[in-house]
Amino acid sequence: MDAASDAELMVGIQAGDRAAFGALVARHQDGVLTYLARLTGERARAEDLAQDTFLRVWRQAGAGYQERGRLRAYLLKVATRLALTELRREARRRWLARLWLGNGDGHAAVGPPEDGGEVQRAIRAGLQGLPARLRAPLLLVELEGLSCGEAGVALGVRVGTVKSRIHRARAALAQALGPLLER
Amino acid sequence: MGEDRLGELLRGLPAERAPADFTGRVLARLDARPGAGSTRLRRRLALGLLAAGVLAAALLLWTGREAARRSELRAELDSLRRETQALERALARPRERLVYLGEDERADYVMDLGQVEAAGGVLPVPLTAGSQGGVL
Repeated sequence: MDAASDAELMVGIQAGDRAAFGALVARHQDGVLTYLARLTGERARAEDLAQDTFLRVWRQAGAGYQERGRLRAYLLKVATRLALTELRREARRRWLARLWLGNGDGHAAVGPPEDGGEVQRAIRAGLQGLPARLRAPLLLVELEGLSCGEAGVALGVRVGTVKSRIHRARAALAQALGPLLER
Repeated sequence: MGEDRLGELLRGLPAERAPADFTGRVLARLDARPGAGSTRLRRRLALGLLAAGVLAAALLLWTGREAARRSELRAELDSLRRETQALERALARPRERLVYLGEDERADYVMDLGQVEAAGGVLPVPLTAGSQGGVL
């Protein structure tokens, strides 16, 4: 099963093969988790969302996955949709907490993992300082290697919008990181 | 240069590693899906009920305030009606008919024709071009 291609695993999943599903999860769990941890800035939440991503793939039996497309792009699309929905829900909760309780953001902020050096901490903080709608395309294209077209499909926006958001994200990040870029 | 450096820094972020039991946990949730689904449904139902409760409370509050305001306005309208009726009654009363007779050091002297009439007395006739004045 480990030698099977992604396409073969998806055929197995569409046929209800749990072993194929398990193999697919094992193969892509690190990649999906890494992407979600960078997108949300929280390891625990990223793990939950990664599980939700794979469960959705199983439940939908790969609906929306096309053999000619890359499975990785499809997984990242599902993960992005789930994460952005979760982040929007979180933003709504914080807004409501501010409205009703009038105290800060009503949320115990959980920052990015504190391991790694000063540079990595600064980059993580810079990424988390970006709005999610700018952070997601930057991560998808720059780090996950998706094309702007694939990122557009994942985000439900046009290619031009993806490019514009990446440009704005890079500019904001460059400003936030400042001196680090000169080293 | 800054752009290349930025890409380099981003790509330098370490990758995450899923815990060893990650696949097992996903498969376990696969079996527990119906329960999880019903939990979510219950949570949504509870949220819906809460929202409906808040709406109902707001509606009750609004209705109460409206009723109080209506009652206040009705009381004001009644008071205005009473005042209008009093004014109408005052207007309907015959005007006092007083004839100024003169004065001395102590007082002004007037004749109240209303009282004269009520007492069965004779009323003075107004002086016109064709009359010499007098009483009826």
